Amino acid sequence: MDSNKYVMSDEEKYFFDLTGYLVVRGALTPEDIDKCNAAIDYYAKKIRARSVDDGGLARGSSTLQGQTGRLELTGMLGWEKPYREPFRELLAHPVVVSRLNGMCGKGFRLDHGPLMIGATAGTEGHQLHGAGEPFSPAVWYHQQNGAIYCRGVTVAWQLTDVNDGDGGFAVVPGSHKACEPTPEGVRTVEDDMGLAVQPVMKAGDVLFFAETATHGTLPWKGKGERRSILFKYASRGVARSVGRFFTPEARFGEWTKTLSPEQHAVLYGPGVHTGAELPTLESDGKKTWVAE
Amino acid sequence: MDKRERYFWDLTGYLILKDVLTADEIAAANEAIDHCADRIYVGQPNEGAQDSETLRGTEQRVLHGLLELEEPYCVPFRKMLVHPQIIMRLNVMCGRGFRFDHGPWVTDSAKGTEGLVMHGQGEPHKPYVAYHHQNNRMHCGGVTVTWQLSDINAGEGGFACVPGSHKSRFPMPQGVRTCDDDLGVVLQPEMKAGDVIFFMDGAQTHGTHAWRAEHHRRSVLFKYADRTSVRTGVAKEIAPPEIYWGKELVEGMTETQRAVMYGPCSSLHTTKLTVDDDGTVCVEEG
Repeated sequence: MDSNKYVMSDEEKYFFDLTGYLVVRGALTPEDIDKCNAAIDYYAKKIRARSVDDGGLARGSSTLQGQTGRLELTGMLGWEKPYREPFRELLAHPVVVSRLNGMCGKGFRLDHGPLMIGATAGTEGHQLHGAGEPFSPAVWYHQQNGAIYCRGVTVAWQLTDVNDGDGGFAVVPGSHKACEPTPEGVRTVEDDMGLAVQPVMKAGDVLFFAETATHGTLPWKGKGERRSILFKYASRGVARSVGRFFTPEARFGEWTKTLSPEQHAVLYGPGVHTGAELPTLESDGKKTWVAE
Repeated sequence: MDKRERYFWDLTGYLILKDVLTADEIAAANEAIDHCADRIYVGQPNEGAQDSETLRGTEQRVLHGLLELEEPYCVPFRKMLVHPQIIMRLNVMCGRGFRFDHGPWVTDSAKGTEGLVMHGQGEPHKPYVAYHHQNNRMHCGGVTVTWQLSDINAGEGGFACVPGSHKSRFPMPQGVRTCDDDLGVVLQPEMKAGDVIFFMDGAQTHGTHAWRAEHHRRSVLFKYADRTSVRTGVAKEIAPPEIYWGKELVEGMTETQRAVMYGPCSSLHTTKLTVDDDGTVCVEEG
């Protein structure tokens, strides 16, 4: 693909619009990669393996199951100097800014992350998720008059190679525009109809994918360790993570304590990662109540 | 929200419900506004009319903070916030889990009050307020609910919109924006005190005609959003990175790193980044 590292080319726009993902090759130098890996090694004790009990991220899929759970590490932007610096460089890296301006529009923002996803041979996969149907406003993909408007884009920096058949990130190209529900066999990859693709990437490559696209992870079969750093971006007026100002009290002030439960419910902040159940409202036209 | 209403809303981008408030409820709301008359904010001349000849007039008068008024004056507005007639429709228009984004405020217009230029449209697409319809389900990122506390007859002015403009794919002509040459597409709906209008905020072209009637126009506006769209109000206050994420996390970040750490809010204009050919990332001016 024709590419100036700092410009999103027409070919890249075509590919992203068509498939829902894009790999930009060689975005990091070997020195950049080494710094990130060294910082992760320094914080290695904080890496946590997810449990595979109760089906794990494979969600019971026989194709995606593994012996161990995904490795995870967070908090890079707040690490002590100099370990945080390589990740802060990634946050507004010119390769990212140039592409996200084209994918999310100028003014895009970090919604949550970064998160390191790690794997060693035998680490389980992650059931495919996301799709154009049912419509999900949080990550809506739209194209109009030559401009792309994607409300949620994940940027995944590769710190190690991902060869053909190694596993790791997988996507169903074009699924961000699907208007029919995803078949169960595609979600589990047990009968994926030949639709799931596992892109080959080298350390230093950076992957962009529309969160709307059906995506997930195949079990890791590579010889080496998988290390991918995920930053979750959103367009300017969109929230997926609820942040620190979610409750009506945190957002509007203590006066909200005097509201009825129904009035209180409608003042929660934006976002879909609500953790505990978000109170939602029902009405029959005569009265309003908080749904069970 | 029945099929008839769904059809009208999808087609035009607005919907009026008749007689939602009782005479007593209208009176209580008006009494609260009268009680707070000294807190009404008076704007600058032609702040809203901007470069329009048609919409020019005297300053707008607006009262904010209605949910926080002392009791009993807040009560009528808190009832409006989750009125059953509103909730059942917003569950369809915005989807369950919709939220109050900003407002409410009341516009209290005397005869001669200026209008507000038409704004909002289908092109360019605005993700945080856009309208979408898929597989018989509709979705609108931002809906304004406006309660009428006085009558609005034909030709008197007030709320006006361009029906169908939420689906337009061409930029709005200047004459439509100013209403100086509106092509006959701008409509000023008639409403009575107690009626309520829903309109697609930002997706649909809408604004205000100058007020021409002898009596005051009083409309109370509540701005709702879907679960993930964020517009302004409190969102703008808490958006700076030091507030949204905390000082500790963003301490020492460069200007460009800081720019992507702002909290969600569509009305910020200081967070746009550009990249030079040599890979230098800059924060865009103003």
